[in-house]
Amino acid sequence: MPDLPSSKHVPHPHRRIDGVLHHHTPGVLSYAEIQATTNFTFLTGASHAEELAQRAAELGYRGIAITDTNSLAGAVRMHVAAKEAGLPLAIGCRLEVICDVESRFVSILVYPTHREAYANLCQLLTRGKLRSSKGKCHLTLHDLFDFHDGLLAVVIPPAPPLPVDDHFLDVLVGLKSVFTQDRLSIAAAIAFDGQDREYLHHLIALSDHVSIPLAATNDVHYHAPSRKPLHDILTCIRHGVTVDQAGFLLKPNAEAHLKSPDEMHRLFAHHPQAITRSVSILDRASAFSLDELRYEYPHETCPTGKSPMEHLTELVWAGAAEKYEDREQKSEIRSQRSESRGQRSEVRDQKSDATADSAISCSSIPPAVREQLKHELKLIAELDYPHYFLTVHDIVAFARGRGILCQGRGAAANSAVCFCLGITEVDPARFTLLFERFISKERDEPPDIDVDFEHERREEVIQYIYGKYGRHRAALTAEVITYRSRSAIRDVGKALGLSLDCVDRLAKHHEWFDAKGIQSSQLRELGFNPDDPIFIRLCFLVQQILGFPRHLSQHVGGFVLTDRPLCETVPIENAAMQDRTIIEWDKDDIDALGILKVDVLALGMLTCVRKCFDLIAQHDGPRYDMHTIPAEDPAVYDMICKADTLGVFQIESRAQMSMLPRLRPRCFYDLVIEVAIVRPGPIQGGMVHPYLRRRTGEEAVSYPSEAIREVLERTLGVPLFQEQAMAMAVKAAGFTVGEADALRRSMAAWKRKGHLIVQFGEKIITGMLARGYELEFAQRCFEQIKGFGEYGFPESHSASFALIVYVSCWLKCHHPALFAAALINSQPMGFYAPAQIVQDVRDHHIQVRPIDVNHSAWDCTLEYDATASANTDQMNPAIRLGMRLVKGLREEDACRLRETVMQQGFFRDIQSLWRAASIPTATMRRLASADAFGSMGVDRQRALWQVRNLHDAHLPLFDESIGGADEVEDDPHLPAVSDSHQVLHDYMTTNLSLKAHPMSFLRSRLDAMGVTLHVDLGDPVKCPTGSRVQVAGLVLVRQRPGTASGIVFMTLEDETGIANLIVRARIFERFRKAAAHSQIIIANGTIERDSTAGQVVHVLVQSIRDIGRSGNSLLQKQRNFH
Amino acid sequence: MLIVRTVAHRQLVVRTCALAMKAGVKPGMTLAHARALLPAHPMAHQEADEPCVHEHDPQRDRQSLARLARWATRFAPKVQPDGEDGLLMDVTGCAHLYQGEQKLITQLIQALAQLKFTALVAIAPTFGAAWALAHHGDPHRRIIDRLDQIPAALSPLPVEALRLDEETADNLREVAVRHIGQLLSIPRRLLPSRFSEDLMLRIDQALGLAMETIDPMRVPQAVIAQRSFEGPVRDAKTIALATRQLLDDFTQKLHQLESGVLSLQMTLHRYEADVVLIPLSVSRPTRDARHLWQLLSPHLERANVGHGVEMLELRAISVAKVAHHQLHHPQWSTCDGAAPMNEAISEQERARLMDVLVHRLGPDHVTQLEPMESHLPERAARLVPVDHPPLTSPARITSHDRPTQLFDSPEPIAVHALTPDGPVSLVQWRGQSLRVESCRGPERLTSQWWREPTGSRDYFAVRLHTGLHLWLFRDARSCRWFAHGWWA
Repeated sequence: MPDLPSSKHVPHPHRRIDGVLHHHTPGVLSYAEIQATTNFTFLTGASHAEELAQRAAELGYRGIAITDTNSLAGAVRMHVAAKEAGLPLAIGCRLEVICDVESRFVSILVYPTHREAYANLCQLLTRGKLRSSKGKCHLTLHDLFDFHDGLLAVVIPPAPPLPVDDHFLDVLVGLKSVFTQDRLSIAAAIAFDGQDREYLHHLIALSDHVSIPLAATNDVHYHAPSRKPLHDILTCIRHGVTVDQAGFLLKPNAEAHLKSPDEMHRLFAHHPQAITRSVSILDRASAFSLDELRYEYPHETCPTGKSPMEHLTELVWAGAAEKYEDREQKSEIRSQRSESRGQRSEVRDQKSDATADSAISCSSIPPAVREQLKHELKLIAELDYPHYFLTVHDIVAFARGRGILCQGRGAAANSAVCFCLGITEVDPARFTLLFERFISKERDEPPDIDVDFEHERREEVIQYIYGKYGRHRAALTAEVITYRSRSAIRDVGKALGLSLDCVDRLAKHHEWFDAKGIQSSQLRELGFNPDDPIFIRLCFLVQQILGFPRHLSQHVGGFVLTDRPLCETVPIENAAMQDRTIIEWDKDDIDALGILKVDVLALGMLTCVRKCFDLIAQHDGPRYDMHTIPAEDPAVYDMICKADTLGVFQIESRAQMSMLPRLRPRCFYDLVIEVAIVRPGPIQGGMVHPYLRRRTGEEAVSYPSEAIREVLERTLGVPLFQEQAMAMAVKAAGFTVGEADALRRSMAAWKRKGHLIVQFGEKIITGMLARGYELEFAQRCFEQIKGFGEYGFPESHSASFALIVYVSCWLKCHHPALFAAALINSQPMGFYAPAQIVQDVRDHHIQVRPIDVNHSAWDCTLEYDATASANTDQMNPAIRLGMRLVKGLREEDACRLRETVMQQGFFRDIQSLWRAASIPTATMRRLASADAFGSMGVDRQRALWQVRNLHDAHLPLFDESIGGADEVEDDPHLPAVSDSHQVLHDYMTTNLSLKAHPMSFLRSRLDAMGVTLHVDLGDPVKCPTGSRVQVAGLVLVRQRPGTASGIVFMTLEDETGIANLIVRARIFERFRKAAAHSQIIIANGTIERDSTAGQVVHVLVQSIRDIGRSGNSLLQKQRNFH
Repeated sequence: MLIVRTVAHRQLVVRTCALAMKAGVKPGMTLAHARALLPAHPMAHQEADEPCVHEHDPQRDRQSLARLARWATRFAPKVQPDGEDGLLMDVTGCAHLYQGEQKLITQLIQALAQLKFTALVAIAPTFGAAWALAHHGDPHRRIIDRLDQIPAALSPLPVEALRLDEETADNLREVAVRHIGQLLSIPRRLLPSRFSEDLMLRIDQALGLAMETIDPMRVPQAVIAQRSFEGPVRDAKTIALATRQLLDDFTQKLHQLESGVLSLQMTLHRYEADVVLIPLSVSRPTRDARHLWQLLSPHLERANVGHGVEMLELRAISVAKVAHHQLHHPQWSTCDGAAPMNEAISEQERARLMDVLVHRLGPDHVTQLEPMESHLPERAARLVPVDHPPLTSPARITSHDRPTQLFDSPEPIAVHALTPDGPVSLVQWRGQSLRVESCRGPERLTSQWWREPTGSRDYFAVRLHTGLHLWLFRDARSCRWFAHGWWA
């Protein structure tokens, strides 16, 4: 047994406590926890920051520190939570530091005491993280010495048994020489391991020996002892073991929680100075608050010598002049453009200088726009946001310069300023209602602009940003990946020791956990015993772990740009992706601190639109741009009203298509509504049907008050946009603008913080009642506002999207072949696979030609024949499918092949092509398998047979005579191939077939069964509403919208068209095997038609059967449940 | 019933029973998928609606296939296991023993059925053709008599019937060659440059153009020792002596085979009475005659010899290879560097002791303690049978001081402290009042929440004035005290 110091060395507790505590809060025992690990030390801490802050406040703590391991990821949350709880907070971090060549670790808690010290900590962490792989942090003692300034340090001594070795003493002495001015302490924690008294005495002796004071901590990992099971489970998940196997990995007791100050004082009764020390550390460290981080915009965006506002004003007026002059002298500008892009920008630059002032009076700018611009610029100047617009403008200008299509959206994006800067193409002159919700003066937050770029070229933009601002000043925000029910069931189930397949089965049905926990009947159905306590524990733990962060991932495109190095504000780490760095905070954190971010997002349709513009220009058409597409073309709206929108942006989905004939959009604003209305938000809020009824005139448009009329007039009295929900809260319920904004935030976070919106609900309803509205109306309004919680769509986003909708529709309407080719060339994107796109263009009488080595390029191309134009007056070219459709083919090989064909002309046999292009035989086989040698008169079977005789090993360069190719071959007597096999093979290699539809081979069988052709479903005579039908086809899409209470929408395809199925949850479950997995099904049901428009027909399904057992696995992948 | 294999965290079905196959379960499916198919099936057994799932053990499969091959030597002299589930038998010259090939097939199938095997059997002039017929052929046409009948018989069968690897079969199917007939009609000289050499070999093997021989199973030599007496012997001493001589013979034979015996059977052939069987098994393979005698003699003493024993027989049931050990060298016992050797010897001694104990007391009465990683003292070790395989990684023993003896169940104890929560000053235990001289603790241990209701105990190590070292705890919920062990 180790020696105990004799009792006379230990001063009497009371004397000490009295003497010291008086100094702080007389009469009350005070304690501050300076070592608290939140769940942002992933799979270690078992409580949220909020819970810790809340509990510490309840216990009357003097304050709390957050000390996650090598991370500040939870700091902002803790900051906000502590502020709410009115609790002083010390931002801190537990560093795991390598202290010698033997890679021994020592753990040190550090706390910055002022802004610069905080910058040091961030830089220190950044250094450690950037030199290691994602999620790791590699630091040495020397790194800490480099950045020690202003940091308080608390060294965590090694676990018992003490006494410590010389090595640790050396570390202490080293630290002491650096952390001068009383900044160093040693942590003392009571672990209840039976040796606490000896341990504490040893620490006291050590502390005396090196003269470093002790600081009391409780090494908190959870706020309450009831979290011990969760803590154990997290430990198990971290180590990949089950609780039964975990053994000593688990802590023996549940003492690492926040204890009452009384208890802490009792535990440290022998050495109360330690408690005092902790309190004083907290006092010193809480002098710094994250509120001190002040955001500074990057300075590069503005040339020296000009104020940012001057620069912005010049750019805006120059842009305005150009945009509206453009309008009038379109043809002239266009010819200028085609002459030389470089020249043009030069011209513009000169002009912008010269005409900055005169542009204001430029006659071509509509007066309304001019007024708007002046108004907006004034606001921007007042709120001091010119840098923000300049930053976005800089990124957009780069993309434009590279010919990358982009489009801004977001609250501020649809301002006249943004239009003139080229950030958005939504012309304020075209519709006039979006400006109200620009940046409001009351709401002091940075404006919000997201910019979408072509999905294939976004990386260029990202690398430009890194290049221009440097990795120390630009980084992506993080996305905190949290436990969702599926992952929670999986991990917790495994840790509890459930077998893998049990876990799989449970996880597959994870929806239950979202709602009301496990239901025993469902468990029984899956073959489990619901009374088994393991499921009770599973349920309990899953509920607790939901929302726990698991790791940091990168946000889709949120960039944070700063003027001073970003790594002085927040630690930066490597992302999983090469060449990406992310900060430790997510977008909520950034919002909370008012830091600017620009969303650089990817949008597939922009790629498609740009490719289509390119194709038009290549084929002697005009060079279009987003804003030069002719506006409000009735032919386009006609097409939209017919729901002929396969492949276009947004309004291509089932739900959207079925809405189109009812909504009958005739102008741009109708499209804005169309985009917003078919969303879970409005659907859940019950706004869709009232709007439709009012639009068709079935219901009178009325407003309960004049104030509400103002808000809702343009949407016929039905709130459809997020902005309207906010405006209603202000106008009708008396919210301040700030409160309305808080409401907007709580709408977004409704799932996570359900209680918040309920509070707002009461406020809305009482507010409206007080203003004389009826209770029923007030409640309905609240329900509608709550509906936005799911996916409310802001009008500004809608407008930006609507423009892309319009442009893509215009292209599809006037250049269907080119649009289809561009669409296929931009895959994967959108809702439909190439097979459906091809089917659709063929339905529009456009010829589609097969992939062929002599004709195809990598991309789909267009072929104009002299004869084709005679047949159709539209001058529609034929589409030649590109080799990109061949599965597994490399672009490089395809391009080499194409070059060879372009140089040497038409090839007549496989051998000579192979030799000329010198590509691997594996590639030749892929092409043969895709039946791409048709122009040589060689069918797939023959091609495969011939290709088998090519061998990479002895290249034919040297031994031309040897290769068996030149001799005349015997007829191999290969068996005949049936058509159905041909088609299956087509699907196998290219996911589509031009020869026939797979269903056509089943047709005779299906006819015998009385199956209705899809084309006949639309015919009210053959298939009257309510009649029973059988339909059969390939399953293209299965969708289960979150709002449709389990209803599954399925789309079937046969050789004549599409059938839309509605499968109720009960039916789906009953026929689960066929409904959820089969590729070819036959469904029995009744015809349903919408009375307002006879164009969309659904089959309400009563039974489903699988009929495609044989060979159906060869067919394409379906899109399931997107 | 499903046999599954775990591949990269997924459990895949390897084999299924007929019932599951009927429900649509196929090899290669994930177990979860298979389960989803099963309960819905009307044929699924009412009570056992949970399918019975076993982990695939290829080693055991191979062993039992080898056993079956050995068994099948009663039908033909040369038998070889084929793949995972086949047997190749050379029945040349055997058929007439069964009055023709058809009858041979019938008898073979019947004999296998008695062993609960379902078999597909075919006979052909080449192994390749027989394999093809057995795996893919028409169940009613199982015999090819002559070599020249092979092409016609195989023509309608799929190309896989030629024992092709999957890739070659895929390549053939790609050009629509599905049946052997289609393949054979392609001019032969076009094939080698296009397909693997294996294809040509397989064709030739099936058609009899290439030789194929089998590597028949070798039946291991039986280890048997016998001793006959002139007449019935009743004298125990004589029998014992004879048995010991027999054991010497027996172990000598094992020695020649470099093997030891794991289980054996002694048979006493009695005069005008049934035989007496004495089965014996040991924990490790041995050929130590003395050890075997130790184990055997008690049984022999108890054996009823009736009117006398005419013959003794020792037969090895299962044997295993035994490496040669230098068992003992007088010099090494004092040498420091001989730890591994000592370990080997002590392990042998231990095994020997175990065998003796198990044979004296019965296997259920001998157990051993296995350490477990657990903070809770009750769970820090568990009793396992002696034949339990030794742990691969011995559990860490807790760093905390634990008593040398733990009581079977905690004993209530009265405890007095001078102040509440203060150190223990006096305990009353087993009718004695004992003064506490020193007390260490508490060590707080919480229960394993996944097994039992939550609770925690504060443990104290106390030294009493008698010198006794007790381990006490206070149960947090009831605040009652217990003694849980002591230090010797």
